[in-house]
Amino acid sequence: VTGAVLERPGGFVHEAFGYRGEEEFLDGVVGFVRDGLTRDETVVVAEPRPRLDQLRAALGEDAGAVEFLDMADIGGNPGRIIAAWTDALERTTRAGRTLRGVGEPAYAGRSPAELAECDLHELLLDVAFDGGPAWRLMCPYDQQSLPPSVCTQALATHPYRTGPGGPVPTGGARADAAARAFTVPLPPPTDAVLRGEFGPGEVRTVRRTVASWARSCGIPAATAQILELAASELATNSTTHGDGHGVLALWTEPGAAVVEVTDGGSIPDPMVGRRLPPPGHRGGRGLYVVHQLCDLVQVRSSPAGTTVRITTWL
Amino acid sequence: MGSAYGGTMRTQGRPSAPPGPADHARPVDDEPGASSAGGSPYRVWVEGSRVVVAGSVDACGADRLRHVLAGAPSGREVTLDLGRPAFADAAGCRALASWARDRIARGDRVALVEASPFLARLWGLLGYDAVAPVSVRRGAA
Repeated sequence: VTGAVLERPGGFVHEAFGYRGEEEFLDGVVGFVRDGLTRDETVVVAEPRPRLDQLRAALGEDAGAVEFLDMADIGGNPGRIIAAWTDALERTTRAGRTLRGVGEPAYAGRSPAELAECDLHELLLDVAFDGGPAWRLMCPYDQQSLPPSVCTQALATHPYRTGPGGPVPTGGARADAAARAFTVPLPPPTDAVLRGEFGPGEVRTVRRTVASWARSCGIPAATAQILELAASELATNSTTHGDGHGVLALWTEPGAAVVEVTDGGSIPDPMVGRRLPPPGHRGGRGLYVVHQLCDLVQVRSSPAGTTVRITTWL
Repeated sequence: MGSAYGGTMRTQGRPSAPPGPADHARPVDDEPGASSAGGSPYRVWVEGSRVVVAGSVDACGADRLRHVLAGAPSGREVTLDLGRPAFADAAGCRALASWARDRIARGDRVALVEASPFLARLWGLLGYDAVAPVSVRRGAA
């Protein structure tokens, strides 16, 4: 076991780092970042505020060698984060260097729906980066502020946890865990829902319905424009895959407006929409754009059908 | 690029431009059947070296749009005027990008102009700036 701690595992090393308070956070992360700089690695940190500023201050002059990203920007919707790490890894690898990342997607103040997406995102990181270039990603979990279940779950979504001498296997994060989590239905809405079925040729009707509903919810014009596009992409997917039909559902929750499209089609790849497909590839761009533009996007699919739920914070 | 047209909107929105040599009737296309689907259809017309797209540039019309653009008059310099789409989605952008890619591969110079900030953002997200950058219309916030 000691050997496993001291020896650096190869490939993608995805580790959870549980901490209590600012001091423990800085103790762990500053060491991890400086270790990377010593090894001449490219260090990219994606943290929420105020952790971002605390870390920058604690690193002093070393902060100049680190790329800082605001996790609330790149990962407000957790479905966007893999694209950001993919970009960082590609840039780093092209430059002939090794990447070291710090990313805290499950930060204090997140809603239950966001934390559920953080879980799925953590599982999908290993799907995305296993078998690629070797790099380390440390994911801090704030044990003082997050629900205990979230921190326990982190050990099941990370193959490693940060130990005193380096990454230690957790024994969690089975290879099929992401595929399984992708099939688990979302919790049903608790409030009144507007629902309507649509078929081929009705994508534009869906689009206009969502646009006018968004305006009636008091959503600003720029965000309504995003939702109109998102509805169009989702309805297009429903009419081109599956049996050509789908159901549009619209509802509001305290502080949020939700647009959901369900259909009978099945998406086999849980990574759908998380990365921009290569140029020759036909599908997948619509969901990618939706992930990039919307506040929170939840995709679930099984042989029984597909659900895409878009939450807009009011 | 775009020769005398520069970056300002000069098109008059005329669906019927002067007749040209043996190519498509102008407007190049009024998407058929789209109004029965309940949306504003796309329209494409040509003014000199400028190809103008209007209406909905979306998945519903993307395949036809691709064919129509492929038949647009050729020239060493061509400007695609994006100032008028009421709506564009990923599939619509893909049709435009694939047209631009084909024209550039044939050695033509392609300028995509007058896009709304939202269309330019969508274009960038889709990675099509690597094919051809779009310029945003002047005065747009």
